[in-house]
Amino acid sequence: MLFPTVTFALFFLIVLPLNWLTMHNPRNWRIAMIVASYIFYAWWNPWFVLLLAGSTLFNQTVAVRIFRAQANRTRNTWLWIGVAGNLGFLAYFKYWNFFASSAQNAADTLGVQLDPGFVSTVLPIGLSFYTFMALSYVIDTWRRTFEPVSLSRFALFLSFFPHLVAGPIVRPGELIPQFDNPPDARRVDATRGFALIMGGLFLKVVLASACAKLVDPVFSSPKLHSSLETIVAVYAYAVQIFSDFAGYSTIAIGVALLLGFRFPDNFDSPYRSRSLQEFWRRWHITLSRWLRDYLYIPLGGNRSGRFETERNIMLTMVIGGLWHGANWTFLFWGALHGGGLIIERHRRARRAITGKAPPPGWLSWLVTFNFVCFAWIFFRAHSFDQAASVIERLFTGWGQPSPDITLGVLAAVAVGMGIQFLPTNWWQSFQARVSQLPYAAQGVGLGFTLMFINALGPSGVAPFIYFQF
Amino acid sequence: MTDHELPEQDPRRRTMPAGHVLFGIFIAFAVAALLNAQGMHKTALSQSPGFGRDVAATLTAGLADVSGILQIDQPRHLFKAALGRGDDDVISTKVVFAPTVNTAPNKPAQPVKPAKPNQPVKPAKPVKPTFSPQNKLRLYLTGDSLITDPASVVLDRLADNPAVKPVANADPHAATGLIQPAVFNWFTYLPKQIAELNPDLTVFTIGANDGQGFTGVTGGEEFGSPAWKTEYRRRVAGVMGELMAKGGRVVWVGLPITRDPDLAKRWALMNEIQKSEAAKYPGKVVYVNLFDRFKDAKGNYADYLPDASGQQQLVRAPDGIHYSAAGAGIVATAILKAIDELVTLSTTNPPPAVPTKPKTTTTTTSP
Repeated sequence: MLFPTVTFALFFLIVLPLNWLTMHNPRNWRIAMIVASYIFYAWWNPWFVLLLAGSTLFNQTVAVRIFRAQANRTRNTWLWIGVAGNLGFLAYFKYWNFFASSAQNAADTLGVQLDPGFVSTVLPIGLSFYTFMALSYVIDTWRRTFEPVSLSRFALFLSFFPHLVAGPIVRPGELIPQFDNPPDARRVDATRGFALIMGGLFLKVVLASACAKLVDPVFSSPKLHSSLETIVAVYAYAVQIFSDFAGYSTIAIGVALLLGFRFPDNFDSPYRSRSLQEFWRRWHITLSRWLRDYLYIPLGGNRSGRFETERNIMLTMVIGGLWHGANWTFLFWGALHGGGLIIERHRRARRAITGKAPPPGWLSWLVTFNFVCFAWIFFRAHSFDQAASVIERLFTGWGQPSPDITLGVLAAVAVGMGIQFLPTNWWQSFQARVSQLPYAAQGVGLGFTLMFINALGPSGVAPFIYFQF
Repeated sequence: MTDHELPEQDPRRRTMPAGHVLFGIFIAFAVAALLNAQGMHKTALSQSPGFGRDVAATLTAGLADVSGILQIDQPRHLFKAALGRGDDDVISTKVVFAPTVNTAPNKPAQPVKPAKPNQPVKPAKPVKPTFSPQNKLRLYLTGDSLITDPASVVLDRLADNPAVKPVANADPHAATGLIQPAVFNWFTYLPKQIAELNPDLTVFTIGANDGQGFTGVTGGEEFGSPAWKTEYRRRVAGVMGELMAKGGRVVWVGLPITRDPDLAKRWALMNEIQKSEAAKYPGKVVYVNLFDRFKDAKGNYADYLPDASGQQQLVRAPDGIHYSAAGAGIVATAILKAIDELVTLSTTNPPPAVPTKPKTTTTTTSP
C-alpha cells in the first residue's frame, strides 16, 4: 500500500495502538509488527511475501553460519554464499532480462544466434532496498561488527514496514538495538513525526506532481517543445525526483518516529551542494554510505594509488547507477557522476600543489547544480535516443512559444529549490513551537494541512519514482 | 554520517504520550475526512471493483452528505475554486449522447436486391482527404492511461511533419473508462473537447479499466453478461459517434494482451465489441489491433518482443499492462499506419488553383 492513501491511514490507525499496546512484551510486539509489515507488503502482491520470507531465512542462516564458523575459510565460504545468493536473487528478478536482451542483440549484430531465454516475472517492489539491508547484516556479521540476532528480530529488521519498499537503507546496528530498548510510551517525539509526514506529503503530492506536468510531456515529445520549456523541464525534473524520493523517505522517517523508532536521515538539501562529493553526502545518504562501506572501501577505496582510487570511484558509481534500474542509461548516469568526481579530485589535487584559491562558492554551486541536472536527463530518459533528443532541443527550439510553462510549474520549481536553502534550524524551531500546542490543536492543524495538500495535488496518487528501483 | 549516528531529539520539542499521539491522529483524520469528503468519495469510486470499493464508496458517500449538510466541505470547495479547479470533485454519472449521435442497436441488415446480370455492384468508396501545410490535419490524442506514452511518441514522430497540427498535448486520463462515469465522465468530456478543439482526426483508446461490471446508477450487470455487452456496445458506439460528430475521423486503438490471463480474456471481449463498432464506419474509423501485436511467436503474452529491426526489446511496463518506451514505439507505429489509412499527409501544398475567366456561355461551376 502507498503511504498517501486512505488505505494506509486506516492500516496505521490499527498498527499504531497495536505497536504501543504490545511493546511491553517484546516477543509479542515483534510478532505483531512482523505480521503488520507482511500485510503491508502483501497489499501489492501476496506472492511477494514469500520472497521476503525466503530472503529472511536465507540471510539468517548464512549470518548464523558465519558467526558459528571457527575457521576463516568456512566463514569466507559462507560470506560468498550470502553475497552470491543475494546478488543472484537481485539479478534474476531485476537484471536477467536486461542482460539477456543485450546479449541476444549483441550476438544478433555479429550474426550469431543466441537464445538466453527471458523470464516473465514481476519485479518485487522494494527488492533492491531490502536486499542491500540483508547484505549489510551478512557482511557486518562476517566483519564481526555485528552479531546475528534471533530470527524474529532479523525478520522485523528486514520487513519493518516504514522502510520496506523504498528505504532509508537502515543498518542492522542502527535499528535492531532499538528493538531491544523499547521507547518510552509517555515521551513520543510526535510533533517531529507529524511534521515529517506532512512535509513528505507536500513534497510528493504537491511539488512532484506539479513538476511532472511539464516534465512528462517534454521528455516524451521533445520535438514539440521549445528550448525554454526543455530547460525548465530539466530543472523541474531535478525538483521532481528530489520531491518524490525525499518525500517518501521523509514520510517513512516520520511514520517510524510515531512508532517510537529513529531512522537515519536520507536527504540533506542536496541541491545546495558546491561539489559532487558534497552532493553525494547529501543525496540518498543511506545508499551513498552503503556503497562507500560495502563496495568502495572493500575495493580499496583511496588507500592505493591514483589510478586504483579513480577505478574504485568509477566502479562504485557505475554499479550505483545500475542499482537504480536495468538500463544502460542508468549505468551512463553513474559513469557521468564517477567521471565528475574524478575530475573534482584532480582539480583539488592541482590546487593543493599550486596553492591556487578555489573558485567562488556561487560558481562551484552553479557548476555542480547544472552538472547534476544535466546528468538527470540520462536518468529520466528511457533511451540514449530520447536523452539526445532532449539535449538537442535545449539548443534548437529557441523562439518558439512555451505554453506548457505554467505558473504552477514555476512555483513548484521555485519552492522545491527554495527549501534547499532554508536555514536548518528554521525547521527545528518551527517543530519546537508547534510541539507546545495541545495534541487536539495539533490534530486539527494536521487535518487542515491534509486538506490543503489533497486539494493542491492531482486526483489519484502517482506511484513513487523510486519504487521501481 | 556514520553508523549509529541517528538524529537526536531537539530538547526544545515537547513530547507527548502515545495515547495523545493516537487521539491527535484520529482528530486529524476525522477533520481531514470531513473537509475532503467529496474528493474522498470520488477517489473511492475510482478503486478497483470489489468489496473494498463498495464499502469505501458507501462510507464516503455518507461522509460527503454529512460534510455537505454541515457546510464543512466549503473550505476545500473555495480553495479548489480559487485554484481554478472547482470542478475536480464534481461527480457526473450521466451517460447521454448528442441527438446527432446514433447509438441505436444495429438493425438487421436489409435484404440486398440481387444485382442485375452484367451490372457489377460498386461498394461506396470512402473519400480519403488530403492535408497539407496549408490545410493541416488537426490531430488530437486522448484516452485512458494506455494512450499516454504512445501518444507522446506519435506527436514526437509527427513533429516535423508540416501537414500536421496537434490541437493539444497528449490528453490521457488515467484510471478512467466507460464503465464508471463517476470517476471521469467521457460522455460529457469528449463532446466538449471535440467542439472546442475541432480535430480532423482523433486517436482514442479506452477500456483498460473497464473489465468490471456496471454498478450503481446503471444497475448491476455482471461483466460479460448479455446485458453488459449491450450496454458497453451502446457506450462504445456513443463515444465513437461523439468523436465523429463534427466530421472527424477516428483511430480507435485496441487493448493489448496482458500478463494476467483473466484480464486478457476480459480485454479480448472488449476489443471484440470495439472492433465490430469500428467496422461500421469504413474510411471513417480504423481499429488498431494490438492484442495480437503484443503476443510472442507462441501466441502468449511476452515482456520482450523483437522490434522492427528484429532486436529484442522490453515492450511492457513492470505491471504487465502498460507499455515500456519500446512498446509505446510499436503502438505509435501502428497508429501512424492507421492514420495513413484514413488521410493523406502531403508535405507540399497543392498547386494554387489557376483563376479562369468564367465563360459567358457556361452557367455551371465546378466544386
